Amino acid sequence: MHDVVKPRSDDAQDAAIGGLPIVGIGASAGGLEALREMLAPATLPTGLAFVVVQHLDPNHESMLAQLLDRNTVLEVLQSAGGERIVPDTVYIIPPGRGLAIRGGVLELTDFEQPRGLRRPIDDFFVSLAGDQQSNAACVILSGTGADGTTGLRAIKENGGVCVAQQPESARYDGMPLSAVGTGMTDFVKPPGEILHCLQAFFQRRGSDPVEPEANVVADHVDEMCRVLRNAIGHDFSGYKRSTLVRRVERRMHVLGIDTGRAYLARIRSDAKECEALFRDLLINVTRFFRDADAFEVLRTRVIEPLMADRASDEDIRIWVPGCSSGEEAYTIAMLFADAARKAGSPLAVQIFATDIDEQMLSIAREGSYPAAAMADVPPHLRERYTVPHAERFTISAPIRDMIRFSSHSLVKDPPFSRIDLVSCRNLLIYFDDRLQQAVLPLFHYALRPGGFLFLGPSESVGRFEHLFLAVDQQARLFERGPGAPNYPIDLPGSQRQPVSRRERDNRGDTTSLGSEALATRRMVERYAPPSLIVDQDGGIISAYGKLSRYFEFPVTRTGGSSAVNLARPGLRNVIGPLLRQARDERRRVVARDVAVETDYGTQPVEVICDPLGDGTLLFVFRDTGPFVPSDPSELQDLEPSDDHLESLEDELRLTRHRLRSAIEELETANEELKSSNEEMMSMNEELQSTNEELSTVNDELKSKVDQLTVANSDLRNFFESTELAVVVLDADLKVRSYTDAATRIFPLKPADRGRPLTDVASRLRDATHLDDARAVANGAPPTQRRVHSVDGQHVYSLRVLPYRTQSGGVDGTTLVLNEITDALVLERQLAAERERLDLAIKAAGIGVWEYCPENGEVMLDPVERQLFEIGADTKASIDMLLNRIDPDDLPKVEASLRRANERSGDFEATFRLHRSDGEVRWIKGFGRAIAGSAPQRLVGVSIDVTPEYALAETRELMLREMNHRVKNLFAVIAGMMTIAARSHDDVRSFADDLRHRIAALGSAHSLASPAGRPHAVGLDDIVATTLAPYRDHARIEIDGPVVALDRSCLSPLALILHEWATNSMKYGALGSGGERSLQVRWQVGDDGIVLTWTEDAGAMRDREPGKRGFGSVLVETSVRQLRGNLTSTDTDGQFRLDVQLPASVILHD
Amino acid sequence: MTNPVLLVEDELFIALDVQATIEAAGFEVEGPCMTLVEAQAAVARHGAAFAAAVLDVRLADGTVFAAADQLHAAGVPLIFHSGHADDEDLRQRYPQATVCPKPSAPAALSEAIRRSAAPNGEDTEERAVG
Repeated sequence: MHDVVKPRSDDAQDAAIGGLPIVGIGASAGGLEALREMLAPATLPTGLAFVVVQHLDPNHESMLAQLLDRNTVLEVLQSAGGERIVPDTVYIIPPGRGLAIRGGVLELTDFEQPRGLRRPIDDFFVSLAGDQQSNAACVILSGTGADGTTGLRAIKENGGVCVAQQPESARYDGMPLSAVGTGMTDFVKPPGEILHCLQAFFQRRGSDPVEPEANVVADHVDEMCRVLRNAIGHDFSGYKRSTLVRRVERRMHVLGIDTGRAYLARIRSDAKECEALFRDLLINVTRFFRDADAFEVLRTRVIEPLMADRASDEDIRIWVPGCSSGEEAYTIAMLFADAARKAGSPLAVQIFATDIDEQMLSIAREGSYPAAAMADVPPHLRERYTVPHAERFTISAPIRDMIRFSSHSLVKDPPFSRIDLVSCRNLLIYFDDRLQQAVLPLFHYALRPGGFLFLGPSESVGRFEHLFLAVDQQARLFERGPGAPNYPIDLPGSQRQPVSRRERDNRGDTTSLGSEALATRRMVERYAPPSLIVDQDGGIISAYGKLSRYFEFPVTRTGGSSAVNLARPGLRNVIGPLLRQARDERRRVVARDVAVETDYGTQPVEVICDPLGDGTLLFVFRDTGPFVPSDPSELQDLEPSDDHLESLEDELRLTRHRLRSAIEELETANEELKSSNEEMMSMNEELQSTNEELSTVNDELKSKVDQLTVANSDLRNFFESTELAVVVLDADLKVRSYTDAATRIFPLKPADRGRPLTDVASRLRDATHLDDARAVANGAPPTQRRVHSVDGQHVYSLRVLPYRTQSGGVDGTTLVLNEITDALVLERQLAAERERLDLAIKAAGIGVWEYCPENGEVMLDPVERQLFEIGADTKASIDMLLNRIDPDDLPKVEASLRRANERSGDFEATFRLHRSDGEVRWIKGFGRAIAGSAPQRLVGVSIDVTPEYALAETRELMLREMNHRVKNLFAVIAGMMTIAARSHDDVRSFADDLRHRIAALGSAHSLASPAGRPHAVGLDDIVATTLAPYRDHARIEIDGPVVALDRSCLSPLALILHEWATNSMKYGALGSGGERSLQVRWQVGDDGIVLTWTEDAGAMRDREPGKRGFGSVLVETSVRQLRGNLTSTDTDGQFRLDVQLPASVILHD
Repeated sequence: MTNPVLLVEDELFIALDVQATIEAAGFEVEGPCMTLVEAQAAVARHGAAFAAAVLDVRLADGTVFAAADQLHAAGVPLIFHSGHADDEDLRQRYPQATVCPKPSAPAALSEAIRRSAAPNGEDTEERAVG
């Protein structure tokens, strides 16, 4: 049954080329793995779109899209219907719906068939083939059953490309095997190579300009046909050119051959390719009951009348040319069988199904088809004429026996004859006009007058309307018109005359045979003795001649057609034994002198029973004497025996009736069993498909479980490794799970899972965590608080979070306890440290600053702000700081800042700061660039060093003072030497004198050491120090108030006292060896100080008052220096010196 | 008769020494003045008619500059004999003055006195004496 899905124009073909190729992928059990392997190698752009049709459990949400998405760069989405196909996208069939495509848009369809008989892959492929023509591709992956195989034919028929997964690589090889078994797959590949293979195919096709190539191919078609005829023996030159070109191009794309010439060379040299091309040329889509309406017309208008009208001795002959894999022939056979069954007539039908494709014929002969195809067969026929197996079903033997499949070419072989029905559907469409015109007369010849011609929906009888009268134009059903068969015909594909001649001879024979039968029939009916053909049980099959004398034919047929029952008395008891004997012995048996009693008399006859070869028996009745009219008296004699026989017969009849009803019951039971069996089979089918769906779900679940296992193990590792104490509670605060760390706070054991946390002891001080958990479990927002352990040594941060289910609802809570004891301690330490540092900085008066050279912004702490007199709220800039710096110091500061910034080094500068009150303060600044800061920042401190500067200045001053004093002393000594030189002649005494005075000056000077009060010298100290060397020489009394003198008085006073002491050593008390006393007293008054030196003169040696010695000059000069007055008195052995010193010598604070 | 040399020195032992040096150089000495007040009185008394002035800088009642300014204004050559004041300050203030840091060798001081006094008196005689 050649068939096309949809009539096609070349325009549609052109439009399809260059569009987006759409790859339909059919998969079932084990398909997930294959799909992953197939789509994983995809790299963008693929230039293809994919539609995955999978057998899915309608009640289970599919995760296929989700799972596939992880394995491919292509976008994967589950179709919701209405998507316009775009490239590089994988569309997945949703569960429970079918998928179709129209105008490049996906549509969801509802399944018509019950679960188990659905064929979503076939349905989609057929729809894809019709919609996308040669842009369609189909891929059949792992799966059981045969879904996809029919769709594959459709794809192929429309010029698409078909790929099947290599059956060995498939987890379930049912679907791929079935696809490969059609012989129509272009490629058989492992899943990983399919994508590349398809891309290459469509690239080849896309890159070729179509028109020129077509021309090139067209140029070679004739030659190719010749090659094919030589190689295969079939001539395709009469086939439609466009079809031929298209099919040849397909082969070229598959092989990657670019030019028609190259392909021609290929088929010349490659017998296998010839075979492949041959098979491609014969692509046929065929189904049971394709165009069911047309077949219904066929049944009512042809099959039933044929069955009713058929002559009892003639078979009905039917020819199905181009039968392909046999579906059409079987369809017709089933219709006839069913009609015969309904009519109760024997099934005398012969169907000749022919094709040129041996491979297809062998499929047809086998009569075994994918279970999926069963859906096409109407249920009542399905039950009766098909035998379901696991994945396939076979046609029952009686139907198969009706059909003879044979290799026969409509084109080149002689036709069959005396055919009642020619069914040639969708074959003529492949023929060009010339060939069609040749074939139709051929049909006319083959059909007997009144025979029927049944064509495909797009075929017609063309200009041969005079030969065929339309019975039903819609169903393409025609009746052969009257008229002699027009034969011989030049068989289009053959020049072999002898065939025609033989056909003609046949025709002659047939004609003479016909008149002979008529004669025989006439002879039997009119001239032969009455005869009867019965079956083995005596049922009358046919009767000839006047039998009414021997048999009673009642008005009703209550007695059936049993010859025994119908026979008249006398004959009745003979026929039964006769029949049995002849049947059993298979020999001719005769019963002589049989008297047949009628209502009117007796007829003696001879009855011969002759068993015929086929199990029937022939009865011949010959009269052996004249008819004897009846004598009423005889009736009485015969009755008893007749009665006995009658009762026996009745009993037999009854027994038979019982037997028959028993048989019928058995048959009914058998029927019921059979139907139960079928039901079981169909349930099995459903289970099978459910199993497939389950297996798909199982695959998905398995990979989901794998992912969950990984996720779970991640979680477990996290739980085991984390230091966080986590306790998960359900809505009733029962423990769901917990981490090891949690057992430090809650002494949980594995057995505690499911126990309320309220029952579990805790090491926390209070139970606020339970309150929180309760609140959060009831929908409160997450909380966070600090909790303390009972012993107070641990502090935890407690977070209570809602436990959210995947749907977003709250089902319990998660308690997260994080020990923060150490952190708190650290925090406190840091705070203390910071406080200390702050204090130190504050105490040191250190100002802290941070400077960003990029924008000139500075951040100052309060001390720094105070130093630079910048208000706390003012946004400070570096310029504000620099403005305060002494202009003399500014360049130095700026240079140091620049250096620190540019070289990321240190800043150090000392500068003066002018404060608003006019005060100048000395500031020392240190700073450092923060390593790695961007933008660069400097941080530093400013220290007020003004006091230190003041101290240094003082020290400087003192140093200068000291310097001055030393120089002055040198000058004084120089002066003394000048004076001494005047009064000494002897160098030794000069030096001696000087040395003593210098020593005295020195010891006095030590009183004016820089320590203590630099300017003040105590008078008592001067006296004590000067007289210290003479302490043992006399009783020395020193007495006077403490009075501080100006430092400038020191040297003169020391010189004066020294001089006096020296004189005393020479002449006075000190030279007495301790016998006399010396008093040094002073008094302080308003007008100054009076210092009195009194010593016991005793036997004082004479002084030398006359000569004004060196000592006197020194004393005088020193007194003058002090602006004092000196008086000396020498009375009563008392030598007394009084020095009146002015008040100016007293140091006033 | 030449004008005297004014000596201002608050340390009498030094003053005696310097006085001896000045007299040895052939000049009479006015002073020594121990204070600024005395010095100013001496300047006023002589109408600033001095051959030169040997001045200590720091005196008991202040620096000598007030008197020095008067002398300078009168064109008296100034010789500062001080262990105290910076050379720099003095040179800036009195560019033509001679500074003899204390203690100075008698020869250096007398040389300074003679050179300072020379433009004011008899040049030749000064040289002959020197």
